[in-house]
Formats: sequence, structure tokens, C-alpha cells
Amino acid sequence: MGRKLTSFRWILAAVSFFIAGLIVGTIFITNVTAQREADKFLEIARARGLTSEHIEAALKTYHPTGVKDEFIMFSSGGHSGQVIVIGIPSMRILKYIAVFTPEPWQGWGFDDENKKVLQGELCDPLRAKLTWADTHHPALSETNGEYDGQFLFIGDKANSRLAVISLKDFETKQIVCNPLGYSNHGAAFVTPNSEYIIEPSQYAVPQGGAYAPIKEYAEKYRGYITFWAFDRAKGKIDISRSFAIEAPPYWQDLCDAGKLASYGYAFCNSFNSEMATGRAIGGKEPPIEVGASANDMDYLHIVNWKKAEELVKQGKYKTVKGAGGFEFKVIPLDVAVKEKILVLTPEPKSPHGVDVSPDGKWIVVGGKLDTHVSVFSIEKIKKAIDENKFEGKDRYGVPIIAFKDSLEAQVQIGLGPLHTVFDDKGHGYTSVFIESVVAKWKLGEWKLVEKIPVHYNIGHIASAEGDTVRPAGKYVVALNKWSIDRFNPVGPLHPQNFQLIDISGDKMKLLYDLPIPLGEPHYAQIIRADRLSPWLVYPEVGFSPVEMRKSPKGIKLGEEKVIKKGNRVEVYMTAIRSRFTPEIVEVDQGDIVTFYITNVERAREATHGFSLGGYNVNLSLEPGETGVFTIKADVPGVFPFYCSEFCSALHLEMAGYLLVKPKK
Amino acid sequence: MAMAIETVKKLIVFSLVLGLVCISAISAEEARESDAKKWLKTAEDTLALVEQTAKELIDAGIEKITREEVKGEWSSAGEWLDLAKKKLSEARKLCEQKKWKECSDIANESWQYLVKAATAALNAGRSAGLK
Repeated sequence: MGRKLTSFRWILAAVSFFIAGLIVGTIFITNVTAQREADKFLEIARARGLTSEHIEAALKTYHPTGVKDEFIMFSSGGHSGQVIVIGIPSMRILKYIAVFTPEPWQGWGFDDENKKVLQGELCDPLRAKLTWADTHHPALSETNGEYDGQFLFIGDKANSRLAVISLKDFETKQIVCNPLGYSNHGAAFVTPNSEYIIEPSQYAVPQGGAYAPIKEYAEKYRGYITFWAFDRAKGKIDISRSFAIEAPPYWQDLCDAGKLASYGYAFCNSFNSEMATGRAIGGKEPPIEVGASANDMDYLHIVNWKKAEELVKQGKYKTVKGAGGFEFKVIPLDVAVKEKILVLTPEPKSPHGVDVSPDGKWIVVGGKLDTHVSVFSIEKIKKAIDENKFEGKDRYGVPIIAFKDSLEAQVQIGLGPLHTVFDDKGHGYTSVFIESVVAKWKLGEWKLVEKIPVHYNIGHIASAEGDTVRPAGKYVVALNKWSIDRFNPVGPLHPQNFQLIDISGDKMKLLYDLPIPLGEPHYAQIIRADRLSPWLVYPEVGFSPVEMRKSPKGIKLGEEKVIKKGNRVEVYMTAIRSRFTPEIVEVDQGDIVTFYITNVERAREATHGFSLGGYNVNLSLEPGETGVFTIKADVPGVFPFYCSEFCSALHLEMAGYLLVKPKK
Repeated sequence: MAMAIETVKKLIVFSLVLGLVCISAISAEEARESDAKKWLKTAEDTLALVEQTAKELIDAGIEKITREEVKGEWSSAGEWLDLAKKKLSEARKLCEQKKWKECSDIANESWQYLVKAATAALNAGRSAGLK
């Protein structure tokens, strides 16, 4: 028994030694492997000249294949007239949304239905034919002051247009022209429940699209702050409920809607209270940049849109016939003054950004030619209005609240502060143009915390959910106008530069540079990705993206047909991997031919194109979509058509012929 | 007699109106002068700041850097600065001649150029890794 026990102990000891050896060996091998891996990484870092900061930035932004982003940024696509969709923090470009300009890949501007959207509503003949836009401020729809992920709005500065995009399919549903003028800047900004989309005009013009000599500027030129009513159920602007407020010709700039403490108000900057109009050849007036910055102060416009809405309901507006003869409801300046829905307060000259803090208490104005941001208090503003405490009136009779009676604080930021966004810890982040920095400062304490250099000439700045009542913090993106030395040269027109900055810690850290090849992107908004729930395919076969419902022209497999009545031909076609049905369509020269093509696929990404040679046709038919185009077959011949998306192994075989028989 | 009283009344009213016009003209002139002097000072002060920044960058060796991006920004800064100085010199003369409105406008224009010079100089410094 004793010997057996001794043997057992020996065995136990041997097993223990073996296990211990195994552990030590494993640790040793693991350490060696880890060390080798670390050495390998260090070697790569050394060879590429990467510092620990660079490696940290890479670790915070790199997304392995298949891993998705936490946030989605919607950026203006500038003169392309599009919207750029970017994942954050990876900074991967996910999509260009075609808005104001034709975009062949998406078939935007090639389909009969979306061509009508592009022509716009309330658009005079000049604006119905535009092929470009200067997209400026995207605004996500909000519910209770938070992004709801349903819609995106964006303005076209050059032509005073506004677009509605559905975030169900990321496609443009509506474009409206403002009949009151030809330019805006601060569009679009939404009220906290997307009741209205705010669009202030920029360069004042005579009322009603009329002509008036420039010497009659002060008397006849006017600005407008337009409130486009949004019908969420229809997903469209309701023109019949929309209205504008007449404003002095001070070149209104950006606006922001009040929220929480300032709900019901909107705030708009202006930068030409001098009413400078520039110099003609041989003229003696100063150039606009000089004339418009002569005064120490311009005017912040304080608009009570809730009360304005009531005035419109009471019929206290006039109907103005604008460009193209389109009529629009306008609350005249004298009514706005009498009802106190428009009040001014001085703001340091030539300001740019006006941004309302998440709690709605503070209205932050960037100085542009001043070194401060000026912070106005809604409480003080309301008190002054309630008590009729005004220091005077402007030449149009608009009451002015004294600067000291509306101002809460000024924060010394640096050279050329423009726009301010907010985080979840009570900080403001201001873009500083001349210095090329982002300045972080503390609300309430009104103190500068730190600055981080950006490259170069920053314009706007965006923070995660930063325009809402509950910012997410984590990231800001600097939208820099110039890149100078950041990227490989590509000729004299350089990409612009979006720089991602980590704001999660005490110190701001630069993470990533994204060259933007579609200038000049203006503003961006960043939403949590989980707030979005886009369709992966259209909900049913035969869907019209413009109408957002099943098209009566949509068909299923087996329902294909060609109907000819006189010189009118209707072709009902289906598309599925890898064929169109019918593949041969024969018409007579002079026929007017309408194709209704339904992609009957239900698999995601099984998009088919439809390209018809010579006729300027390229549709993008997403799964379930019915597209429509009409041609006049006035040139006889044989015209191949094919699927312009690489949809399957037999993609090249997905083709057919349109035969146009010559007249006898 | 009645006519004489009427004439005196008219004279008094005329004198009052004339006086008011003169006072307005004087105060408008004073405002123009004050505005011009303010702009001139703003431009002079900004010029001093820009020149100080430029000196710091020169001391840090910016002119020895041969990279095209840096040279481009630096040369742009120099051009704006020259233009600003030229305009400032014009403004000084206009102020000396008491041409207040013109002085004001030209000093403002000079200041606009200084802002551009500062932007370009700071970009050059940033690109060179000096600022």
C-alpha cells in the first residue's frame, strides 16, 4: 500500500513537472512570438517613419474588412450638387447621393420621373434647366431635437434651391426653388421636430424678382428668411404651408433653430448691415469686402417662428409674385416689426457661424474678423423683448436689443473664428480660419481649453450628433478648404481635406486625413449609424423611388408586353440576371417609345443598368425598382442596349436590340 | 408790422434749420474722422503684428526652406504684405489731407490685405513645421 502511494506521488510529481514545463514553455514561446510580432510592427513603423501617435491613430480608425462604422457623416458635395456619405471613424467614402445634378451611375436625371424631380417645383424657366448646384448645409431631420435618421435636407446656395432626400433609399425626392431670390447660404437648418426647414436668402434682391437699379438698393432690395413647412408623412415640403419673413437687405447668412430653452426661435447672422454694393468700372465706392466690413457691428436676427406661423394662419401675410410668376406667402417687414417676430441685436462685424448650444440657452456667434466668439443668452433676449427694452431701431424700424442686454460672454478664441459645434461634456469646438486651428472651449466657464492645428484654412466643423440636444462627443471633423502639402499633387486644382479629430480624451488628437476630390464641400452632419435603417432592396417589385410606392407600370416576370397605339409605343420590360425580356424591340421611325423596366430581383445589390446607345439613356434599376424613360425614335437604325452593371457571370449576355425601322 | 414779425419768424426758423444742418454736418464729419483714425490705427497695429510674425518665421529659417508648398505660401504672404503697405501708405496720406471717408476705406482695404498676408504666412509656417 505504501509503495503504491509512493509511485502515485512520483507520477503526480512527474505530471505536475510536465504541466509546469508546458506552461513555462508556452509562456516562453508566446512571449517570443509576441516579441517577434512586436519587432515586426516596430520595423514597419520605423521603415514608414511612424510615431506612437500615428500608430494610435491607425488603431483608432482602421476597420478590418466587414467591420462597419459607428457614425455616418453626410457632407455637402459642393459644386457637384451632390451629398457625400462617409463612415466615421474609418473615413471611408460610402456613397455620393445625386441631388441637384445628373449622375449617371445612379441613373439620376436619365429617368422620366427623376428628371421631373430635378426640374424642381416653383422653378422659373432659368432654374428648371440647371446642371449644377453649390450644395452647402446638409440638415438631418429631427424629432425632439435629436436626429431621427429619416430625411436629409440640403440647400443650393447658387440658385436658392432646397432638396429633400429620403434616408430609406438615399435618393432625392423633391427639389423646390425659392421664388423670392436667387441665392441663399444658410440652408438647410431644421427646427427641432422638422416642422420647418429654414432657408435665409443671402444676396438681397428686389422683391418679386423685379429689376431695380443698384442705387435704389436700400429702398427696394430685401432679404428673406424662408420657413419651408415639412410634411413628414408625405416626405415632402408642403409649399402651401410655407412662408417667408421679409428682412432688411443686410445679407443674411447662416441660421440655426433654437431648441429646448430657445425652442420656437431661429437665429440668423448678417454681414452687410453697411449695405455695400460694390464698385462698377470707374466707380468710387469701396469694393464689397471693404464696404461690408466698415461697421464694428452687424446684426443677429432673432426670429420668433412659432409666432410667425400663427400670423400666417391668421392671414397676416401678403402674397408675393416671385421669379417665374410663382406666388409665395411673405410676412411684410412692417408686420414682422409690429408683431415683434423679428428683432435685431448687434454682433461683432462680419460674423459667420451662429450655433445654438445643446440646451438651447446660448447662441454662439463666430467673429470671422474678430478674435472672439460671442455668446448670447436666450433668457436675456426674451427678457428684453418682453420688456420692450430696445436701444433703438434700424432704418427699417426693426427694434434693436442693446449688445450688453443680449450678450452673456465673449471667449477669446484666435484669428478668424467661424463655426462652433458641441460635445457631450459641455465644450464648444470652434473652427478658426486664419490660424487654421480647432479651438476647444468650455461653456459656462467661457474659457479656452486648447487648440489643435488643422491643415489648412478650416471652414466648417462637424461633431458627432453635434447639432442636436444630445451630442455624442467622440469625434469632430475639420472641413478644411485647402490641403497645401497633405497629399500627392494632382495639378493646380487640389483636393480639400477633411481631418478627423478624436475628442474623447482630455487632449484633442488628429486621427485621419481624407482628401475630398469634390469641392467645395461646405458643411456636414454626423449621425449614429444605428439611427439609420435604409432599405437593402425596394419593399416590393415594381416600386417607384420618386413616388415611394408601387408604380402602376411595374410588372412581374411573365407580364412583359409591347403596346403600340398609333405612333405611341409602350414597352413593359423585366430585368433579371442575365436577361432583359423582351430582348428585341422593334419600332417605326418617328415613334415615341416609353420603356417601363422593372428589376424583378429580390437579392440585395442585384442592380441592373439599362444603357441605350446613342439616346443618352442610362438607368440604374435597384432590386424591385421600376424605371421609365421615353425617347423619340427619330433616327432609324439598330441600337444595342445592355446592362451597364456587372451583375453576373453572363453580364455581357444581358443585352438586346432596339430596331428603328426607317419610314417608307 | 405783421409782415416784419412774419419775416423775423421765418428768419428764426431758417437759422434754426441752418444750425441743425451745420451741427449734423459737423458731427457727421467728426464721425468720419474718428472712423478713419480708428481704421488707420487698426491697420497699423495689425501690420505690426504681421511683421512680427513674419520676423519670427524668418528667424526660424522659413526662407531657407525650399519646398514648393512653403515657398508658394511664403511668397503669397509677401505679396499681400507689400500690397497692404502700399495701401496703408495711401491711407496715411489721405488722412493727412483730411479725406476721412477715403482714408477709412483705404485703411480698411489695407487691413483686408494684412489678414490675407497673415493667413498665408501662418500656412507657410505650418507647412514648414515652424508654427
